[in-house]
Amino acid sequence: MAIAFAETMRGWLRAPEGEQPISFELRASGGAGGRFALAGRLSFPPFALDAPARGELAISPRRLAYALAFAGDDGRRYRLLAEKRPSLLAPVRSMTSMWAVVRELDGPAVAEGEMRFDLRDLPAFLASWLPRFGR
Amino acid sequence: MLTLPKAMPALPSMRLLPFPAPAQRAPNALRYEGRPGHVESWFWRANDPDRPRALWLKVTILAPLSGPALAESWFVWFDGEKRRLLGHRTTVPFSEASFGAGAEPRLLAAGFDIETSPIGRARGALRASFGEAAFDLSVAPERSPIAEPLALLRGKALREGPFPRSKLLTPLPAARLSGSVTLPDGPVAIDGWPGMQGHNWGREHAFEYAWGQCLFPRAGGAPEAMLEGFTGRVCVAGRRTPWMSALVVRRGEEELRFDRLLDFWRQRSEVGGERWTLALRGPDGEARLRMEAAGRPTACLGYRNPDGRLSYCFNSKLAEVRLQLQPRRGGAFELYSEHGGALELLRREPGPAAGIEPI
Repeated sequence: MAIAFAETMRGWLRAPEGEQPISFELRASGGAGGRFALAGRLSFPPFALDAPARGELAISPRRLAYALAFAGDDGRRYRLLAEKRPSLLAPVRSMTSMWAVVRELDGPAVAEGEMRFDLRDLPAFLASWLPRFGR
Repeated sequence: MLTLPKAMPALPSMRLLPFPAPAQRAPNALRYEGRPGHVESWFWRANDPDRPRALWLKVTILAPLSGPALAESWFVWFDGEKRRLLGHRTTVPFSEASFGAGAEPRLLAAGFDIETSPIGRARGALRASFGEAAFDLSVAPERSPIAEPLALLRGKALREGPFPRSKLLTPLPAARLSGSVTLPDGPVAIDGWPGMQGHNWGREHAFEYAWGQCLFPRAGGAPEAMLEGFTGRVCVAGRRTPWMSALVVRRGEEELRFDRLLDFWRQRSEVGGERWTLALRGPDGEARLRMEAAGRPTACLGYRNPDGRLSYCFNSKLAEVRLQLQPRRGGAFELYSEHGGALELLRREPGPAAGIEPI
């Protein structure tokens, strides 16, 4: 059985020009071996506005690692790498915020900062969970 | 986030206020009822879409607490390339002016003749210390939902009731102005310059405020957009209130409102000499705005209050604007204008303009 769900996260990343807003809306599907394929849209002005994004979410007991690739409006390729580290001491905060870094593909970091899951999105997030049967 | 309606929003009134919500009047209708203690203005702006040049026109009524009422016309030409500002005010007795009646009055005052109808005409001439100037313009609304009338103050009671003492409406947030302006060194063609028209009134000018407005053309597949907002504080029983802010952003058919004036925990603002920054959070998301006019032609306007005190308005129509939006629905985006922002900073002290004679 595979699983699918949708997730939205937003934040402000510090870039050389100052803090820039970032958001993504992703659909995760799969789950075999704790790995989900990610596909959706990402906005990170001025680098990319509503760009298609694809990648992978790897879930283990100690961390949830996001790796996304997207094309910038300048034609360059970028990657967003982020990680949640679940903690029993701060279960809500550790599952709703993550440190994110945007890099040029195989290049230097261009921005980093915190992204958050807005708890007002929780009903939509829970409603998005679907089991998928079959191969 | 809202989808813009096709008419002035019928927003709920604040029923807890100790007075009934008054009937909503047409955005440009005259509010002056002939009594002392009133200020009222209609103003227009047009920005050259390609170069740092802008025109600002204004017609005002000043009814002092004692003495006869006055009518004034204001003309300011901002030229960032020549680093030049041409500003002039003409004052006449109110009895020599005509402000018309009805929903779309025709304003005839101090050399200006301006129709406030949605497709209107603005003509005028003036003799100033810098020479003679004139203008003849048509004003037409932008064909876009962002051009629908805008009220930053939510609720009829706030827009028409006694508090706050000064009101603002924007009957035409996005317009196209066409025609010409004649300056002492020759005519300037105004070929469909983007602009707007506003309407303010009250028992006095607000105690202190920053106000800004900017239009953003379609770009890169993104729809046209506009923003308007303010940070202000008033005096209640002789004490200054905290700064209160509101911001409305329209982008295509969407409207994002950050207008919970008393939600001080979710607003940060800084009103400087030539800069205004604002960060707001609300149900529609999070917004960060920065408007700056440093190093650009800025007019110092002397706004007389009905009690005789002078307020100083630092007025630039060439401000740099950067707005970052993190909407609750949809992706993050940024709007930027190099020199298209209207930025007004009003205070009771001359501040940076000490020694400068206000227009």
